[in-house]
Amino acid sequence: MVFVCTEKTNKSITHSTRSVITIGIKRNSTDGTVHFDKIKMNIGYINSAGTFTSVYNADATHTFSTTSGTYVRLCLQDFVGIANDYSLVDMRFAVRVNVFAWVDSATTIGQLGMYYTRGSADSYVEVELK
Amino acid sequence: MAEIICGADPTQGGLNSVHVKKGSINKLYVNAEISGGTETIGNVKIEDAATTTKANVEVDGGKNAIYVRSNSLATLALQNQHQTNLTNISNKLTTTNTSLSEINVKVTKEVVRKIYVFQQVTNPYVFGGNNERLLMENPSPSNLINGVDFFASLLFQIRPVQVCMIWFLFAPKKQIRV
Repeated sequence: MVFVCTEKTNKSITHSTRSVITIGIKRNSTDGTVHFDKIKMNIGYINSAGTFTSVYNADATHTFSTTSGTYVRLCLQDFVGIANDYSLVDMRFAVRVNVFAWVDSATTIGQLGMYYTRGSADSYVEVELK
Repeated sequence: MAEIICGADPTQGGLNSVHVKKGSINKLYVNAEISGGTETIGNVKIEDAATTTKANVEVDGGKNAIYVRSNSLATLALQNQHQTNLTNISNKLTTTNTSLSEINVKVTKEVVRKIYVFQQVTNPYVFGGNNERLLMENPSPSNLINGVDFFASLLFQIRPVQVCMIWFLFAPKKQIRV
């Protein structure tokens, strides 16, 4: 999923970003186990054509398994270092989130969700601009 | 009959012409022009001839003299003072500009920390296309109709011959449109 920032700025992304991502994971089937591995945060921008470009990325790895039939919430923190500042002139700050999960049985079915609840901040990213 | 001699300080502008006319008992009217032509002539003094700035008429029987000088900015001393003041002002402006430049550099290089909340809306934000997944500085109100607060993925499952890792696309669990 790519999220794009609504704020326009000519500043640059600098130093590092900190993301807090809340996901839910559950088993839909009656057997087997659902496994979660990691979240990958891609910090970048989209241009005026809507194309996303990843500049830096980092994984938030957390080994987790469940057989729960209801969503189990996981909240992970992911720091992405910005080795070289990148400009947002004529761009929009954007983040792509990839969630990695799997099941260990041919008959097992799992499901993931990401929380961005209205009225709260279950998932957010902190950035430094200069 | 007294003889009247007119003089001027050469450092304060040359004297082109002086016309002196007798007024009432103790008054003289002086009409003078200095070489600057357009410079303003200030006070006119009638002083004793004893000082060195006056025309020396002692050799002519100790008769009085009229000394005419301008107190305008055209005088050399005042011009020098004026230039000194301008220099001082210029120096202070330079100092001020330097300070402003330093402040400007600090402001433009100030690092600003921002927090953007992941949000979903049904009326898209348009930049490079319609974007419904947004990073916003503030979360939406919890009762916002124009938004979806939770997206679930499609079901995921492996087939018997496949091995382990799957990563998948998200799809809406529910969408509310107004």
